Amino acid sequence: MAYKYRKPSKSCLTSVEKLEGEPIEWKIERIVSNKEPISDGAPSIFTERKDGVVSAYNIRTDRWEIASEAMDKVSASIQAKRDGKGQVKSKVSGSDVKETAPKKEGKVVDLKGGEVSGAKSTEGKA
Amino acid sequence: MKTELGGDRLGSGNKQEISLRNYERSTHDLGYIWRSSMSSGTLVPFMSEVGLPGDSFDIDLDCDVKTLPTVGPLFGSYKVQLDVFECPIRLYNGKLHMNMLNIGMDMSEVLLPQIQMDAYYHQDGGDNDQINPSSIYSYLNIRGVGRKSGGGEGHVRRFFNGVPYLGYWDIYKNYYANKQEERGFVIHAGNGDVSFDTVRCLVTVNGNTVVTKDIFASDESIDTDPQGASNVEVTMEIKFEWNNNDTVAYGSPDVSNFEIEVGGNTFVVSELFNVVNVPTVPDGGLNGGTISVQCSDYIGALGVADWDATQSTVVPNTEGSIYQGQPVLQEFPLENIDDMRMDILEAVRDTTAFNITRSTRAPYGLGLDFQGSYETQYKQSSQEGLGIKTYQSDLFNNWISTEWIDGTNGVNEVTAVSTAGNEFTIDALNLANKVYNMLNRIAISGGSYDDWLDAVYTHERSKSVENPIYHGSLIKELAFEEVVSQADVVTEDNEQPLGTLAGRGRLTGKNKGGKIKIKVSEPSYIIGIVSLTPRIDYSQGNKWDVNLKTMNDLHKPALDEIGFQDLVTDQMAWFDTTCNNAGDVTYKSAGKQPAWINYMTNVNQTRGSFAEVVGESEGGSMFMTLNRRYEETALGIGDLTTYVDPSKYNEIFAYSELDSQNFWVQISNRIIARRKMSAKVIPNL
Repeated sequence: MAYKYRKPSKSCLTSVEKLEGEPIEWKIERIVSNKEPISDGAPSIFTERKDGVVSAYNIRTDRWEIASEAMDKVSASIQAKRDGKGQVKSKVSGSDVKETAPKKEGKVVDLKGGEVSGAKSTEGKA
Repeated sequence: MKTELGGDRLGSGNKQEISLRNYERSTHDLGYIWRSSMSSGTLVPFMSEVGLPGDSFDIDLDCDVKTLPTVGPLFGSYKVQLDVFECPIRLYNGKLHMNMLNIGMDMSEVLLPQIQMDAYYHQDGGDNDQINPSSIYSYLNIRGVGRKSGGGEGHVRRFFNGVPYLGYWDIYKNYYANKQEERGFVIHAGNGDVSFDTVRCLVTVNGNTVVTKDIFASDESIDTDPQGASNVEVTMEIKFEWNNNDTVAYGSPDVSNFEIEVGGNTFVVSELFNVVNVPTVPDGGLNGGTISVQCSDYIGALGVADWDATQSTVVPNTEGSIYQGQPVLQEFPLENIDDMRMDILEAVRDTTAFNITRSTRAPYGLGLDFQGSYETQYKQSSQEGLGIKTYQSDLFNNWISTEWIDGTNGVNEVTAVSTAGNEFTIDALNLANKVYNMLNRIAISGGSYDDWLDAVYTHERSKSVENPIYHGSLIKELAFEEVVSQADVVTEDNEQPLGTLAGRGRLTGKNKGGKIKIKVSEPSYIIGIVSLTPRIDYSQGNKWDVNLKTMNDLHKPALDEIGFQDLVTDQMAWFDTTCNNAGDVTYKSAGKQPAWINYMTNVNQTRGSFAEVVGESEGGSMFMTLNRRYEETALGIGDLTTYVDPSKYNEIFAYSELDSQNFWVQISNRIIARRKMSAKVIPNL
């Protein structure tokens, strides 16, 4: 025996309630032969080849991936807005050139005497 | 910032407008590395941070996952997912709803919900004596209650902020649970006091003939000194079964007080036999079977006597009153999470904080409970209180409850057109059709209020935040690479030749998301949850098309507008279907799916020895795949659910106990928080 492995353990999970099942082929046959009204319906949806497999109609779609991609775009747009805030527009020889505005200095705490408990601060001394 | 003197009122214009001083902000590094062991299918919080109004969190997530060694190659992968949510504190406090008058004048009246946590302080009990490091409380940053005031050992109690705990379960309900099943699962330690039931007590006298009698079923006359026998051997076998079907067996039966009456005198086993061999329950429990204690080398009196063990029915566990039984998956109704929110909001007039105690409804109170005494707390157990997620959506893990479609007050019943008097009006039919379409959309989307708004109005709206908000994820893939054995390994029960494959998990190059920006607008918790989901294969089902009988059974576009079909469980496992010897078949259904779905999707499959479990054949190699093996019971599939059972995928690992955590997860949380607060000058180290 090459591989040492264990016997599978018994699951603690229990089943959902199961009912008697009717395959779709039987359902069609029942409806046709008994002349029953169709009690449920669905819209006809046909997709373009260029769209590939549309996630909304794919049972294997991972909704977390879709949500994550959407939130990536939100995150990117927030970043783009921030990046844009630090720039001003100016016209140079007829074309738009963005120049970075002078960087605003961060506020520096005014330390009385420049010392706290005798320790010299290195902040704000550039 | 501008506001109006005395508060916002219609028609006040800008006469009363006043400017409030705007606070500046400063930038802070809240980044950290988080490392933990994990098992698959569990939802493990890796982040729980306070957010204040005006904060902006730039979160850059990265992660690395490695695994313990596997005993063979593993053909399959796990989805690694880190999700980040924002849970406003308002959700868990009635006073913060309705824009209540005057509450702003004394916010100390707004009490945060608290977790009432009891523990027992043992001197030298160790780091994790009070709270297991892999329990939900540890992951939510509660690591212990404290020492006994005044010294010594004893019961201690403390109250902790319960908002992250409430948020975790709210996130569970809204994002990870399967609402169609209307239930969730939480890891909860099995009761450790579960004992064994005696099934038989067989005494065998091996003289000239072999005589075996069951002295548990009835008292029996036994001759331990049969005439003419030159050599007599008396042995006893006591068979036990686990006395609780809901709990996985562990430990050993304690027979030290197992009483046997021989000739009117009562003895314990060790007074009758020199050798008493007590086995331990094997990995994975007894699966409904028995465990046997073997006794030999008889030292009791010889001769004919009545033997009786009928009174020795229940035998305790050698592991004593251990409360930390193996972790099991405990079911709870999902509506409990809604009920909890209602309880909290109903307590709006209370002048004391809302307490989550050990008697609070499941899943909240389960891990806070104890068994017997304060010394035996469930929160000391491995992975206690962690929620269980579902598999990835596929043909067999995504269905609509039949009750919602066909049941009482289901879509079909509500929209049925009355034909009383053998007629109906076209108006009634049209109305029923419209209502049918609307209800169908609600059912498919999930059935909550938000789902209802989405489905009925399909209007892009700014949602009122009444639930935790999803802010983004990092998604990676964990695959397994082979490790080739460089030498023969021969052990007592196994031989592994040179070149035997083993494996270890490593992340692939896949990397989605991970950069998350959160602008906090009210006091909140930022909660991150990491999970590992097996991408599973199937091997037990009959594919749907093998049941086709005529050409008319094939799909026809004209029948496209049929709404639903049953999810026939025969596709999952053949043994859920019954048939007689005339070929009449009865199928079972898990729920409803869109009609003709079988033509639109597929599932991963395993065949050959990958479809054989260990024990079925010498070469059963299912353990090398992530096979969703449905369990066979007398009623067909015994575990038909979309929730992951972490223990199902442990077999490949060297350590495969139910409490095993075979994945090592390291997460880099680079968090830059810009907050409305003053930075401070930090002393030099």
